[in-house]
Amino acid sequence: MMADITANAGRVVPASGNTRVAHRAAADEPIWVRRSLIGLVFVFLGVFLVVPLAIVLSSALSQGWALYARAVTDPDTWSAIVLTLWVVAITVPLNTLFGIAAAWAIARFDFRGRSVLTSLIDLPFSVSPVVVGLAYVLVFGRGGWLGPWLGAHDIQIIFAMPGMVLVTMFVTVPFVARELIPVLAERGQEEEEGALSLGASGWQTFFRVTLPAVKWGLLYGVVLTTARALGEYGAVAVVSGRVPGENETLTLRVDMLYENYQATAAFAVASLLAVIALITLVLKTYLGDRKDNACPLSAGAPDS
Amino acid sequence: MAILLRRGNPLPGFVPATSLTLIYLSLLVLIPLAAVVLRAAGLSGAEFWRVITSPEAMASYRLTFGAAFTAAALNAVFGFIVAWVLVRYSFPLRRVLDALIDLPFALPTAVAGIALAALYGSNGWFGKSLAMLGIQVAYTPVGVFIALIFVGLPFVVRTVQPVIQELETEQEEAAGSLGGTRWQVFRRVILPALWPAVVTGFTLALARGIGEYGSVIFIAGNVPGVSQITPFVIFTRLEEFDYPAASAIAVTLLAISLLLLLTINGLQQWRARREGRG
Amino acid sequence: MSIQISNVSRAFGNHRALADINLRIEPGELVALLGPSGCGKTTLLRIIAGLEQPDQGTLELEGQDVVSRHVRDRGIGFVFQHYALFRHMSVFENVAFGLRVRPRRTRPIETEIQRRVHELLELVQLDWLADRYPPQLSGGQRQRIALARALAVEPRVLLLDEPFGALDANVRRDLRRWLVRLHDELHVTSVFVTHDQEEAMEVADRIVVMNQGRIEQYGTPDEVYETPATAFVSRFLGDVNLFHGRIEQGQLHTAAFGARATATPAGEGASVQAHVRPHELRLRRDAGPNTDLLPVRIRRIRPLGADVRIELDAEGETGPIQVVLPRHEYRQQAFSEGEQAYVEPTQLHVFDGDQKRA
Repeated sequence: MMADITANAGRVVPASGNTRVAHRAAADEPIWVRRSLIGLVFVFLGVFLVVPLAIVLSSALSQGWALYARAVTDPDTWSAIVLTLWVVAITVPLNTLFGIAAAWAIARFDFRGRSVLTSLIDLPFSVSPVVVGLAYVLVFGRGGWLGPWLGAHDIQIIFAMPGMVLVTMFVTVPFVARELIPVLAERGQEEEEGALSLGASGWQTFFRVTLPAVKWGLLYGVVLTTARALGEYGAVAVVSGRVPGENETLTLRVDMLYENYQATAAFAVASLLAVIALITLVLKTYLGDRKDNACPLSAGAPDS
Repeated sequence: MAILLRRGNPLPGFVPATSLTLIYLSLLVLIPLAAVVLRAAGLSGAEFWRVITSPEAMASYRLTFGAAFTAAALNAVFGFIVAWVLVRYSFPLRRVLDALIDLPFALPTAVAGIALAALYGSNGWFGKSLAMLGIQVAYTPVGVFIALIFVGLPFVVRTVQPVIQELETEQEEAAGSLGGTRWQVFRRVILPALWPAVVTGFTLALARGIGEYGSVIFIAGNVPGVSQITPFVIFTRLEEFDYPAASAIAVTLLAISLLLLLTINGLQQWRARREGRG
Repeated sequence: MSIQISNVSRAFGNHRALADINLRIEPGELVALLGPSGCGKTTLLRIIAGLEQPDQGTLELEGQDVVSRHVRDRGIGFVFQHYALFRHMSVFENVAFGLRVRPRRTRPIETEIQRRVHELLELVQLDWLADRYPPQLSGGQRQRIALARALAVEPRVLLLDEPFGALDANVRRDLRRWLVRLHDELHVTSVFVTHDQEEAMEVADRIVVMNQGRIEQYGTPDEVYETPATAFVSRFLGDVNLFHGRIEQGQLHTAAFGARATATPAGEGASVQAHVRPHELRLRRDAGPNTDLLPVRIRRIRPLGADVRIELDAEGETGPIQVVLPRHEYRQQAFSEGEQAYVEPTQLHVFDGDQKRA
């Protein structure tokens, strides 16, 4: 569901830039109404978005750069960064492949159960992260379905990295597909049919025609997947062994430091994630614009 | 002639793409969720009922649903205003604010959680002032409420925004030319066109709020019966290795989320039909 | 290359898009599939291309059954309604695509590709656009690039889906003539889909008139216009004045014109409809000795370029009657609005009265 919304997000930004601002009087509120509404929006977004973001950055630096640097370069933090990157490095490519396959099936073919499949892809959005963790414990944990077998073969999934990767994959599974389906559907399949009629093979059609056509939408989905994979907390918290320096991701490190009354260090690590979030927002806006502008073939030059 | 999807589609890859999708989803999503349901089904009916209606669980439902509902309602009102202002008005920093709307999606919940906890704690910037007014936020339902406002903020804005954009100002101008005041035009022309999107956004925010964990627990502090949300109750059962109980409550939560999901899909179909695209 | 379509049917759910189509297209012909939207003409074209599968029936290209052959192996060139140009590729790369995707063994070397593409771009008179991208082109230019792209693979059959549908009237007229000249030059078997009867008449050697998934008539533009096989064809190919009547003693009886000898497929006593095209009505001032002329009053006179259209009211007829006169004839007679006059049909097309209206 979330991607449903974020999908709209990109579409929203560019058009409003120049087209809809100048209105004639008939469709305008009185000036005092406009001013107060704008003021209200600034206050609301300031209180709920800007101030929380600001407090992360200011708390991180509240005790000076030296402490900040020490918190960030602490070996345990460092290993959390490495682990987090591993989780992302495994999750993102796999979910991207899945998303492309799923979007291809759903946007290009009509088959029985198509709408069910679409809802299934959305399902992870409506599952609480804690329930995701619980589900994996019940499958792979010591008392779980595969627990005895895994134990006998000395394979550890829960309270170890594989479990953390799996739950992260679960929570990020819909993003790429949800971004690609509307882009593919809107683009239509005429260009692909054109390629086939010119003798292209299936893979040639995909790599030379489909992929270039949807690349911004795909990148957008990848960015969302990455951001969420970096920042997943609840599900990972359940299946992590919580051993610092061993199976702590960045978000768990933040949690651990905060609970141990090392608030400044916690905010220092959190500020890394906050900066990544800000980068994500910039990328999102940029890719959202590209995605929209990449679309229509409508305007063009006039025939003379 | 515009039948986009055809039987005997000449495009390749149907079987591999569908198979991969189904297998991936089954392994990653369906089987683990089935494990939860089956574990809960291991309980007898009476036990199941006892677990999901225990005082602790009941208190957590009240808190979770109450806070999620009120936060979503508040977001519906403010999200509508934010969307309207972002689309219709031109002012400095408009694009920055627009981009910032997605912050709750991008910022890891744990980071949001400690930020809110610091902000509304008794020594925090806001907590201190609110304490002087006699309002305590940290470790109370108010804290949960505030965290869920943060989490749900983008939903209404992002569902309503594109609809406002597609709204033809011509309609408003027509209504105006027929002698309607601005308020009448808003009530009779704009609001009816937008409220389905507002309801959808509200439902999405509600669904998200019900499952939310990371951003809530730090500010809520998990005082049993006071500020303990349902996901935290599940977490606690899990740490006690009481898997059946954790599963039973999880199934309850899942069922409600799915019900909301179905409602959303129904709403969206209804909207599509209304807008003549069904 | 000849195209032989036998007993082809296709349904989409409950909608029968094509019902038992039989059609033979001779090598080198330029054929139009003409019909209203939803008549199945695009489906038929896509079936020939292999973009669509028939539920039953066979399709032969040059005597070879190709139903199970994939679109890429049929040797067809397809020009899509909205051109389907690859938006992220330059005009040059669009045209070169079909050559570049060939297996290494049959792929021409780069200089040969260059040569071929420029040759094709010259053929469509757009060589100067090679480095542009599709969104920068006008509709007419896109159309010609799409054609060049389709021709690059040296198709044995050229298929065009509403090739002029999305263009302005002037551009459309120019491109039609250009396409005819191109076809005369290349002589590749070509089939195009259109809903515009004028376009079909001007461009095609032969026209397939389709309605509700069936072929109503197949013939030269002259044949389908002069001797329409069905009431639908008659109506679809141009304006007609419709008169209801009945066959009695082998003669057509209408309220307007009394009894007239006529060739009719309908049996004795059958109720029929008679179609008279506006230029097939003679308008005159005095009845003379004839008693079977229809007295009318001139309601309105509209000069339309070389012709003049005159609207007439007649007693007993529901709608106004349309007559078209060449301008010089109109000048000679100098009719004026409100005047009394008589009309007489020079030709009547009689169809079974049960046939549905178009």
